Amino acid sequence: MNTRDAQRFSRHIALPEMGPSGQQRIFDAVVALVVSPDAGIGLETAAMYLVASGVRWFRVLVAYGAESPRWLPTLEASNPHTHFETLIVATSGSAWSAALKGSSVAVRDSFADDSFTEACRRNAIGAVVVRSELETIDVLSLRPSSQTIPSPVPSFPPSARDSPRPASPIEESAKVTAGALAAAEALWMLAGRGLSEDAYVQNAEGIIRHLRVPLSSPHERPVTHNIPWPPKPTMSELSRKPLTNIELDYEVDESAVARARSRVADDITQLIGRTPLVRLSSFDAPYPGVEIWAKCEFMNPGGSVKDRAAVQMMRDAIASGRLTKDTTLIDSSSGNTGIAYSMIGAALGFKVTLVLPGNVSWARKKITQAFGTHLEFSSELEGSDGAILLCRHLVAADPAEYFYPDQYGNESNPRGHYLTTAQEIWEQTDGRISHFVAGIGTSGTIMGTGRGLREHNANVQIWAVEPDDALHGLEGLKHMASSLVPEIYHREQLTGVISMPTDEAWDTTERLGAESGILVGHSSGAALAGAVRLAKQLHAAGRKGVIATVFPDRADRYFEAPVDPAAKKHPRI
Amino acid sequence: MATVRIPTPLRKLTNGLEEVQASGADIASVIASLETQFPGIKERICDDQGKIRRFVNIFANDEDIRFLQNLETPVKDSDEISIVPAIAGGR
Repeated sequence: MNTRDAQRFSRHIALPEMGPSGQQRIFDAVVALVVSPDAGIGLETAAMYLVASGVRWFRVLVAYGAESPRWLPTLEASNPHTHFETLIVATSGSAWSAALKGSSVAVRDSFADDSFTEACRRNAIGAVVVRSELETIDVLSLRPSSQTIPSPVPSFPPSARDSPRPASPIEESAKVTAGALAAAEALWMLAGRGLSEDAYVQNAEGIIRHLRVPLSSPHERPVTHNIPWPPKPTMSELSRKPLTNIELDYEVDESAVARARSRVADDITQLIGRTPLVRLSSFDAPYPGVEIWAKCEFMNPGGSVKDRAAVQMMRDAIASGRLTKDTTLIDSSSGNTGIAYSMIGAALGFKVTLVLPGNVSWARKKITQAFGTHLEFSSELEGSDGAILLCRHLVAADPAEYFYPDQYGNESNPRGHYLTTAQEIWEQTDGRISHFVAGIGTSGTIMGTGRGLREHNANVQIWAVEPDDALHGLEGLKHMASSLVPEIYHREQLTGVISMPTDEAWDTTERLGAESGILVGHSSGAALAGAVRLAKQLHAAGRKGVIATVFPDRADRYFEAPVDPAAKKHPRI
Repeated sequence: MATVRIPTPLRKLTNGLEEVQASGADIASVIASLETQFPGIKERICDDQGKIRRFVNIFANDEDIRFLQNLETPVKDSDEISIVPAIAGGR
């Protein structure tokens, strides 16, 4: 350490328990400052003392629901040698575990629950908890010990914080004392030299030092309590068996699961994508050596794969100025894209109008209207092509009013899949994917995902599934030969197209529900039926494969409103 | 002769016509009449057993024939029969 630092921290360094090496450990430490929603006590003071003592690296972990502390910017600004990083953390054990990783010690306010203390144990870091009780403020010092498992922090009576009266000068003073003590506890842990035997309660189970700062007269010497630990848990209680499925030869990557579970977002659109991949063992079992996986796109916040295309089109349009608060987004969509536009429009504050064929399901109509979207209807006999034509007519009549994303011709549609879906599938299959199969509607999913996968491995085969006839029952898919061909569709980029009869797709969809517990729409069944055909071919040729497909949406999007048989009316109008 | 409204996917079989005439005392006969005029149309609407496919709806004057007598639903000359796909295309 340089001369200036040695002078500045000379009083610390002079302490036998500290010394230059202890001070250096303080310089190098990362202190996690944990902020909880009940806006606890003492953390600000502790942070100030820690900064004054030479701690340079802080990670401010804001528990989900809490606010970033108001004192933080001032503290940051007044100390140019300190660095503060802020993270929002979901309140689960695995989220704490991940957030605390790399920290040397944690200082927190309010109560430390089991998931937090367990996370400290996993990362082998100490924790100091400052919390107020009826008569006192408690400073709990949990020092990690490699040979023991700390039990849950003993529970105490409810806090005096719940009373609405303003804090008295004594309480303010007590907060300062408590904060200072907390900082002192943290610094001892960081210095790493340990304290003498009588300063800590030690038994076979663990170490906790509990200081009580009385609210009545905080300047009295804090009372130290020795907390006996409960008996050590048995090995069977302690062991955490990883999840394994003995029929499959892989283990669940729990840290990946934890990362996925701990997602926290500023608005709903940030939760689009990063969907899970599920193995369909009952479908690939007849073809050993071939795996079939499906991407659960129905788990997007809008309920379908279209969230990805819609958000990419809208984000690109906002960036280019085509979509503003003064223009209305208009598109023809008999369902999922319309719902996605509606949701994103509501979340980000943009107006949306949708043109739908009259015979879309009742559920689709109600959902879009619930987001505040305006609907225009085209003839039910003319299907989605009729809606496209009416939409183009409306835009041509008033071009300044509308932003027309045109999902069939907008390169942002496949681009969204190229950027996200493809990368996710590549990671989720550990790069082992050999075939990608998807139903074709606008062709955005197959084009974008195919392009993205092939950049990683040019040998990945890309197969589209389309209905076998113009008159079909696969909502979402397009019979190219009889339709307006989307401009984003480039047939030459596909390895092949599978022509799928409606009955085979519907039967597969029903099997998915009954055998796998996955209740999805018919376009998902069609895609899976295509994947099964490929699996059969591969197996017959004595080859192996890893096939991934996409399940665009759930079955409940297709349920009809109850029909009154006495009325015998057209159920869709 | 009853009037039959044809959905877009079947119009290439009816020479582009969206409305045609067909004779028959019930729906089954009307379908047979359509097949005579426009060969190939029946197998799009019906399966191997002659039943209406799961994903095709037929309406007699805006009433779903599933709630009437299905293929035996009686048809008058003034009736309007609509063949409506169960799905809209859905994107």
